[in-house]
Amino acid sequence: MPPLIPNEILCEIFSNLNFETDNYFIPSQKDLFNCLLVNRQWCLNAITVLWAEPMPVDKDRNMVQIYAKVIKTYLLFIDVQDKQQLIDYGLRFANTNSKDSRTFQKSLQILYGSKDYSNSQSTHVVNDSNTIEKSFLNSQVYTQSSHTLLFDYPSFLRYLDIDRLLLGIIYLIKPNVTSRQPGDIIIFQAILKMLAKRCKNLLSLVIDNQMED
Amino acid sequence: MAELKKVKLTSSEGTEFIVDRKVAEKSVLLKNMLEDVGESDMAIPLPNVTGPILNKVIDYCTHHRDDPFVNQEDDSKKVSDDIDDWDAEFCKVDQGTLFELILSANYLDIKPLLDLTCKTVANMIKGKTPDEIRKTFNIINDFTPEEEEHVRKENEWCEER
Repeated sequence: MPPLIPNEILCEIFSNLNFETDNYFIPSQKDLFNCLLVNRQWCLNAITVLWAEPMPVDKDRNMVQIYAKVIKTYLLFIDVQDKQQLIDYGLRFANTNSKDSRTFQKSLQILYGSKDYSNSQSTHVVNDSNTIEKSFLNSQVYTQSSHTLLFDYPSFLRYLDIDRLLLGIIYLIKPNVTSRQPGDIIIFQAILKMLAKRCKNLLSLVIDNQMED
Repeated sequence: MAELKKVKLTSSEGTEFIVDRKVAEKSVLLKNMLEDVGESDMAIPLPNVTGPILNKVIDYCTHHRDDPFVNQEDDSKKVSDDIDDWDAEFCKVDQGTLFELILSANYLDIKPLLDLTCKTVANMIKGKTPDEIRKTFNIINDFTPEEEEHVRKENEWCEER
């Protein structure tokens, strides 16, 4: 490979990592995951593509677990006030300050800097790093150990389907049900608000309303 | 008669190529240039494209000269496995050439050629582990172990089945 393949070209290549189900092409998340572990440049560009459509449909597979995992990451980016509202509802966050990851953040920022990704795609320091400590309504929400995230993942979103977002939230609250759950709307609103703030590159928004009561 | 006009192109080494205007216009860059400049016998210099690569690009554009123009803005889902025999044969080149073709297609703004070559590389990536990918493309892993761990952790949601 030539020493310098421009980022836009790598993105172009990665957007071809997909497979067909029912004449519909969905991103191959497994291949994108392998790409983002190759090196720093591949990482940045694979993340750009992977997080552009993190919640695709797959006719052969129930994707709702994937949606729920994406939402867990999104929850780390919601507003302080919204966080408070979720805390009041039973979801707890803990403030953490991991020095290591901040230094690492800085090094990544210098590397990728504002050059190619100044337009909202830059690596991003999550100012108030938070980890959700306790589960929400007895579900297994976020119990991962705390660290600041490397990228502003929500900012890469380009394709959003509201129903899938809601399905993922419901799964997060209570797996294996598809009916609306108490509290789902609070999480839903907090995430939508966060996405509206961060997603400058949204290309497609699907509102089907199948989930409406 | 404009359709039958010939266009002169010069590669980075100064080699001159004469092609039909219709073939040259597969490149949006050249199409716009020709429209701006109008009739001219002056050769268009392409300092970013070497002779052998320009030769390949012209082969491609000649073969596909009658294809309908694809909408540039069409951001619909892309297909990876719909490469026809001629195109597949065209892409049977060494890796260096393949990446030079990608860069030239990007520079000359020939969307179908860019798609084809990117699909070809994507097919080389599919199903490979990170290490196999590095070996295939001769890429050095510049992650620190800590970085690699963070990246893996934050994205492993998509790997689990």
